[in-house]
Amino acid sequence: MPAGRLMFAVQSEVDRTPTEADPNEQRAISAVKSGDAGSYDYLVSKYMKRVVSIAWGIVRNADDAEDLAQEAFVKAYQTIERFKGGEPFGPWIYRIVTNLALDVLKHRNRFRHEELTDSHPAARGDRADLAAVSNELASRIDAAIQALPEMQRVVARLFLVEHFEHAEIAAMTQLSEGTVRSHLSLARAKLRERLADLYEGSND
Amino acid sequence: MTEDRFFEKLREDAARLRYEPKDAFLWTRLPARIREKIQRPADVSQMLARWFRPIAASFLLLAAGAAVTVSWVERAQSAYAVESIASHPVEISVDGDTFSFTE
Repeated sequence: MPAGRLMFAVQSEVDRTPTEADPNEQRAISAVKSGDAGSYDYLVSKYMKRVVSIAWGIVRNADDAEDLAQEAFVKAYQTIERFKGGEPFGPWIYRIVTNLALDVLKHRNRFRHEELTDSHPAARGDRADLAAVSNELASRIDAAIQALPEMQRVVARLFLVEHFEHAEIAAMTQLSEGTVRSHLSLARAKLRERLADLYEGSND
Repeated sequence: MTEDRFFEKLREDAARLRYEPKDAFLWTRLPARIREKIQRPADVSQMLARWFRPIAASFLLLAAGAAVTVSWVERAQSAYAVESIASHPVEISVDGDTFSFTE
């Protein structure tokens, strides 16, 4: 495993640490609420990688993902008064960025016809940004997830790639937990079928 | 392989699909962009919005209070009108006969 990837994995674990275990996060939130905009840097640094990853997973475009991450952090900052003290910041910012990214998908669907007639439709999603796609297994999994219907794909990606739990995904996507499970169940069946040659031979 | 085991294994393998940008400057550019946005002094429309929001909310509250008061006063007045008709008999004369309506 390359060093960069290891560092990213460690960072992701840090990102998922609850606020109670991170007094700095609580202090930063209180300071921002008191008008100290500089303290927001701590929250941005802590969560930006995961926020960008969530956005990218949904919109599959590096520029859009960066813009969405920025928009999500600015929106969270502007409405931080509504944020309840003592609660972790992560789920809140993840929910904001997921909603923004889903809005982008809705917007794209509305103009799908024009997109399909575009001379460079593939430019919409940039797989090249995914370092792991060079790996055959990752590439196959990525393609199989991408081939799923929209909401199954979003939910499957949040569960399989980002390792969120059902309840977290439900909160982020504003679906019920039952609907999330149902999407995942359908996605699992399709993924198993599509990736049969990779997993069926394995006995573990 | 069971369904659950398949999904577990897939979840382990899919973790490597997390986004890693080719652009190494993203992690310095993004915080700078956010900082620039949130520390920028408010423009005229934002300042006006900041002023008008509480004013509009106060007017809304006043309007709601006035509507409740008016409806309460109207209800009280109509109850009084019924009561006053009941307490003052009405007499109608037709062809020399007088008909009296009382409660």
